[in-house]
Amino acid sequence: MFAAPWVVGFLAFQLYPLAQSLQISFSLLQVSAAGVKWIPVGFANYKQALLVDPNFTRFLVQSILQTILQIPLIISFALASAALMKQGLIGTTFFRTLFFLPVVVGSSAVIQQLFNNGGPGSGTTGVPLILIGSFLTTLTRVLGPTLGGEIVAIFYHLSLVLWQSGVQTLLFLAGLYSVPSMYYEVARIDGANAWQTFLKVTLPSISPMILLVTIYSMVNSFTEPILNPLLNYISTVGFGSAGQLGEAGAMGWMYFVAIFIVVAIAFRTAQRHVFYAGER
Amino acid sequence: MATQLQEVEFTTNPLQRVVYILRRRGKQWLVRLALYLVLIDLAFVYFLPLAYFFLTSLKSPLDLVNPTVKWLPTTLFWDNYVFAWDQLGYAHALLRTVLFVVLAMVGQVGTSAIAGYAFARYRFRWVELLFMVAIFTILVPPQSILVSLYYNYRLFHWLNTWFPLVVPEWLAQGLFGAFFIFIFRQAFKALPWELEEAARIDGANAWQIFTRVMLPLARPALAVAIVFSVVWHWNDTFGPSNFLMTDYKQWPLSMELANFTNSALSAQNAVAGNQAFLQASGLSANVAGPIMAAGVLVILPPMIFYILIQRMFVEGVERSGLIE
Repeated sequence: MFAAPWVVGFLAFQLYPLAQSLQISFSLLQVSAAGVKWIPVGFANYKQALLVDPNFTRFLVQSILQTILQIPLIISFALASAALMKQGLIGTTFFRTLFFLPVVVGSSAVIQQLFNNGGPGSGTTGVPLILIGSFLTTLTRVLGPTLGGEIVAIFYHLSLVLWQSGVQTLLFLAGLYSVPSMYYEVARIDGANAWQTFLKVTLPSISPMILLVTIYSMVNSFTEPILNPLLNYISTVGFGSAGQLGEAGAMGWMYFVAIFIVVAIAFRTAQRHVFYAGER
Repeated sequence: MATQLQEVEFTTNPLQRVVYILRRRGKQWLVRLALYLVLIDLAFVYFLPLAYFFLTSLKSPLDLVNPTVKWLPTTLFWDNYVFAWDQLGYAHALLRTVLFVVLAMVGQVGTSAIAGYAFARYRFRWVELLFMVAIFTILVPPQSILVSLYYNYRLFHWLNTWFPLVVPEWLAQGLFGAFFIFIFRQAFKALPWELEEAARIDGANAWQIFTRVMLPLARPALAVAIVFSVVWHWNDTFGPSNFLMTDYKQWPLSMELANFTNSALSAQNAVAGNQAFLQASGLSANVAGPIMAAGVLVILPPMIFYILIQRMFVEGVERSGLIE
């Protein structure tokens, strides 16, 4: 009964459109004087994307690898900053507000664009380089372009990760505040030190949140339209000059299946390690 | 070790006592200092772009073209705000947006909490499969079902109304719909069964258990869901730009901002063609000031909302007094 609203909504707003897009991936769009017509072509679109197109498989592998490499970084950073903000230091409210900023900015395409274009390091570098810009130029000058360039790239990626982990930090914060303080008292009485408490009390208690954050980060990285090379490519194929909607549909579906498999594996693996207090 | 500490602690020698206390405090202070340094470091990464953003919004056109002015404007040029306020139709757009966001958020958080509870606690047929399907829907980029949705909404005569932006939310769909279900499912699953059983023995029905016992216990998750729902709806331009396309009188602030930014930038790019716009703004060539001011005006309300709702995290489980 409680799941009923979701089921209704799913049928109307997700399943039906999805079925239509699946149908598109198996057909060829023909625009003629009589109107728009879909001609079923079987697996031709899929063959085209997998066997003929030189870019599709490369981008597919690239976007999956990028995601898998990024996630441990994002998660550990978000968890660390959430734990820091729970320490009860003076000014926590201020810090918590600041850490919320990436959530607000990141969710608005327009403001993100303003942040990127408004800074002195205009263009693609944008936000991250505003802050470390002068420091990094000095570094490049001292160390030479090869080594300096590498370090600049590392810094750039790091601050990108920082800017992407706002949502995750907030989720962890909620998770940390949900751990009953009773658990910590028991641990203290039993003589556990801070590290043991973190490993044996905090980590298991927030493991459901860790799973949530992992899946969210994966989805975010897989569906991020700006940074993801494959999504860009699919929309160029579908809506570019060639206008191969059918082939783009086929690519889209293969991409779904691929990321669904990755997410499902992550889910299954995590499920075994996640501890739910309310499970029986 | 422990005995040694105790000895010192209970010593009657005042000097030794002072030394002991200082040593203990000193260690704490060092840790605190290190924590602060890390926090300030991290905050810096977020703060600097924001500061630049805000300071730019206060720069006069002269400051903006002046290469010696990098961070601090020479004068505080509030006219940027006056102009942005005017161009956004701020007073009306703000009211409209708040109404829209509240409608969408209440529906989304409410129904997602219900669905999340179902997935966390009830064992019904195909529950695992249904939940996997729900997760799958997060993976579907909204762009991929846009065409189909558009046709359906046109069929319902929902285009240029708020229905496409609010009705899916009330059915636990919409913006990141299943993600909210996931948040609640994880939060509810982490709560112990004993409380529910106690409530059931006391004669509470399913709905009472859900609203009186479980929801208050999941308060941090609830707060986080509310915050995300508000902010994401507040800033969303994908839905409004596709389903409220022509009716600019219903545009939320996010759309007004996009529109204002675009027209200001195109005015800057085609100075000759858009004299009227430039004269109205009193700007020379650089429109960054008013655009940044508009950006600040748009992100200010959700920031204030977040500051107000923060307390909900902290008060979490402890204050509700149910865990014992």
